[in-house]
Amino acid sequence: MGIIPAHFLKPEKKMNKINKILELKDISKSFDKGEVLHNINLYVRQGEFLTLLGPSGCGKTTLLRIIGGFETPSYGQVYFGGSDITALPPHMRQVNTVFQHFALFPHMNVYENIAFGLHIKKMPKDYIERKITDILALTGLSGFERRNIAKLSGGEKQRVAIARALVCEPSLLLLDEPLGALDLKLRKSMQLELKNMHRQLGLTFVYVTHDQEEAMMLSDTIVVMKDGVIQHIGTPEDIYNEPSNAFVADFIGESNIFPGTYLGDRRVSFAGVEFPCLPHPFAAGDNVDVVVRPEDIELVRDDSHVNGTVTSSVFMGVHYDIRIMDDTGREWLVQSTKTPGEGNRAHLFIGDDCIHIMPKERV
Amino acid sequence: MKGFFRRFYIIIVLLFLYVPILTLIVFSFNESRTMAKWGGFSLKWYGELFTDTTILNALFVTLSIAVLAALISTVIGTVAALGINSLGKRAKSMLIGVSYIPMVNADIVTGVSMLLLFILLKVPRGYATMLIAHITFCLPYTTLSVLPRLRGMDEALYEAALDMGATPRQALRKVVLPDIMPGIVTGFILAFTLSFDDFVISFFSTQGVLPNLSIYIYSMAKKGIKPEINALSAIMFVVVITLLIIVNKRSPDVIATRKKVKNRTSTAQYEEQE
Amino acid sequence: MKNKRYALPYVIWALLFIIGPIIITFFYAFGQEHFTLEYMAKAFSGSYFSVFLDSILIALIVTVICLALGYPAAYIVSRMQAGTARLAIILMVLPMWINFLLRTYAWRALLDDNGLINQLLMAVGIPAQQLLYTQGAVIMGLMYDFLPFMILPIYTALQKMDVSLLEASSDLGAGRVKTFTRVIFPLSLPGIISGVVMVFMPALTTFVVTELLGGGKYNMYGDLITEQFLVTSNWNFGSALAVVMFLLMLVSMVVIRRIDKDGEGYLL
Repeated sequence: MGIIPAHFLKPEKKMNKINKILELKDISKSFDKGEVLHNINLYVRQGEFLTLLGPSGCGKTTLLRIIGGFETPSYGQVYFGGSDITALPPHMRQVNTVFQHFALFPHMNVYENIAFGLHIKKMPKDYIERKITDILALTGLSGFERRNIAKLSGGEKQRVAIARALVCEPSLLLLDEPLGALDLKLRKSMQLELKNMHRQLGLTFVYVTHDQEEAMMLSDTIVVMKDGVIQHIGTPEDIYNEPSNAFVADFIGESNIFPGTYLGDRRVSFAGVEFPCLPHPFAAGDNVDVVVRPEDIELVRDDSHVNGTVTSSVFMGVHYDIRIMDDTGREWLVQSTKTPGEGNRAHLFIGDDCIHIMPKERV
Repeated sequence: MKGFFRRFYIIIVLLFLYVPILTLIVFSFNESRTMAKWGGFSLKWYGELFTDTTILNALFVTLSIAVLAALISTVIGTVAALGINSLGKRAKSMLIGVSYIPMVNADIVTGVSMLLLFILLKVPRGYATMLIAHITFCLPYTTLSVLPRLRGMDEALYEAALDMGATPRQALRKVVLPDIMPGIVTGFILAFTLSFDDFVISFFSTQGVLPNLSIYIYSMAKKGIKPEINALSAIMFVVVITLLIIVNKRSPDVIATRKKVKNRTSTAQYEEQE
Repeated sequence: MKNKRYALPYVIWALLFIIGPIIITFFYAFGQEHFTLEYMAKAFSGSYFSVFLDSILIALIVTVICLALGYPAAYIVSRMQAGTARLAIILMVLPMWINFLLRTYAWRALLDDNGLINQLLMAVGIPAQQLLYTQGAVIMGLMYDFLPFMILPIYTALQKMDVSLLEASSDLGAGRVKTFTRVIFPLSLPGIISGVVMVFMPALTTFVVTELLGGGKYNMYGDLITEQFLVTSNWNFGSALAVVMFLLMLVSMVVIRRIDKDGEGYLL
């Protein structure tokens, strides 16, 4: 990445825990086809990197568009820096968007595209030139000023879109699945760049993606959504280790999820077995969902909780993905650096701190 | 508020476009000959229309030429598209470039140049020259309607047919033709409408000797108001509307056909694709 | 399928009836067997040249009026709801399918001394005007004929515009007006160019409208050419005039290709 000029670095690099730059209250949105967002409440802190994560159709893009001003909520308010901007049109918001398919103006070159917002604000010419030179350096596009948009690669277009939004120095940057059109390797390197950009600029990012690995890697906070409803808000570790429900557990990372019953007294029953577990805030007899991460399961010789046969064992480079059919007919996924081998017996041990219990209803 | 002005403007434009046509139609039912005063409702001009042999002859000429020109140019054009598609880059763009000439040229220049040709070759001006001229200006449209479909077609289809034992002829008939059929049909419709509506080229290629509908209207209009023409307009209007409705129901983008008709700057699409 | 020989009939036809006539026209324009420039020179001389200029002027006026009236119409329709827009465009396209002689003839009736327009004027107290057989009538007739040809390509260009570009413009701070001048208008330029070409060239070479609505008093270029071929049999001079038109057409094609580099145009 390029050299960051001093005036781009903000002194406040740490997240301000008290300062809510964006707040969404009771947001609902319906289209002709039905309700797309229901009762969304969340806030974004100044300087934070927040990701809206969920499968296609969960409403995350609609939510982003409401923040950007391209859609108005059917119900609810949007507060920005304390003021109600719900009805404010996009061109009057201190928010800029990086569009999914870049939305670069085909009739302008790179320089003109990036300068667009600054021209609108009637900035003096030398100011614009300076800013653009800096932003091109920041996004690794130095020398691209006169280039034709149509002749750029996907990655280059992406950077121009980012540069164009950043150069306006918005307080809040919205990114709508910006890396979706890139190939894997490029995506990974752009993820790193975005994360660095975020750290160095101190801006607030709201990011939309369906890729949970991307979300985990980039975000300070993740908002998991499904069918227009928020399922879980938390840090990546939070969501991974203590997902609020089965959907979140399944969406984030590979897992073994079973329905079960909390027995009270540090015991839970699932998959036909009683396991010792940590205390959870449930009453004895409650129906629950239980998640056990594949990497948390130990393969032992004896003293096991579950026994079964290995149905498949695939070497993934660092570990083996081992699928085991236990004697009750249930399938387990175990990740381990050693494998018993296909067709052989396997004995599973699950530590009490590896069992995460979640309520059955949606949060 | 803004919405009101917008609608208002569109309505004004539409009024402007239709008032003359509708006036024609209304006065086709006029008892008296003039278009200045309403003399009462009458269908007599329609009667005159249907008994006027000159008009009917002209109509026949227009229709028959349109059908023939459309058919012949579609056949030659489709075959040509197949051939052009197989040509090398240079020959291809040259041939396509030549095709553009009748499309982009002013009608009058095309008409005049064809007249000179016929004079030089001592071909008597009449039905044949009109037909030849019509085929000539229709050919680019039929060819360029089929070509993109040909390009878009997956060649593997043809090869699969051969692979399964079809002769090239059969493969062509059973696989290629059905696939490019929409282009062929579009081309045919295009050619037909172009030919039907043509005036200038028909006029010059026959030196005004053989009246088709347009030429007839021209000669009559010069003389003044003739209510049979109004009646004719009314009928044509109804036919066109009906056709448009039918066509629109079947495939909404054949409306675009007419757009293509008059777009002579169907620019570099082909060139750029080389 | 890959048979080059299929192109042969077309090639022969093109040579005979497309290339051939053009060559012959040039041949005649330059004096047939006795090469001379006198006919070409005549085309640029005195009264003929002023007719040429007049025609260009009129064609320009017609084009500008069509653009001024047609662009707003195309813009408004492109912003309408899909269903209404479809209807509006079909209604605007319809006149194109009606024989243009009939449409011109309609104006003849309307503009007549006793025609409807004058009757309307008289009803309001304004005395009957000489409307027919004026230059204004010719311009009006041409404008009426060609308006749909201007509206359509502009509409198509506007309609194809990516909505996200408008959102991006708004996102970057441009209000409605600025979005129009900086994004919408430039991107509709290919449509405008198409429209201009489809109006200017035919308007320039028209002869029907001038005769029917202008009463043969106002000669335009098309009338000149017609005269040479069908009245005076001055084929050489007529060919020279046609050649000028042909060259003009070639030049404008080159210019357009230059301006519209990407070939966006408004395509077949």
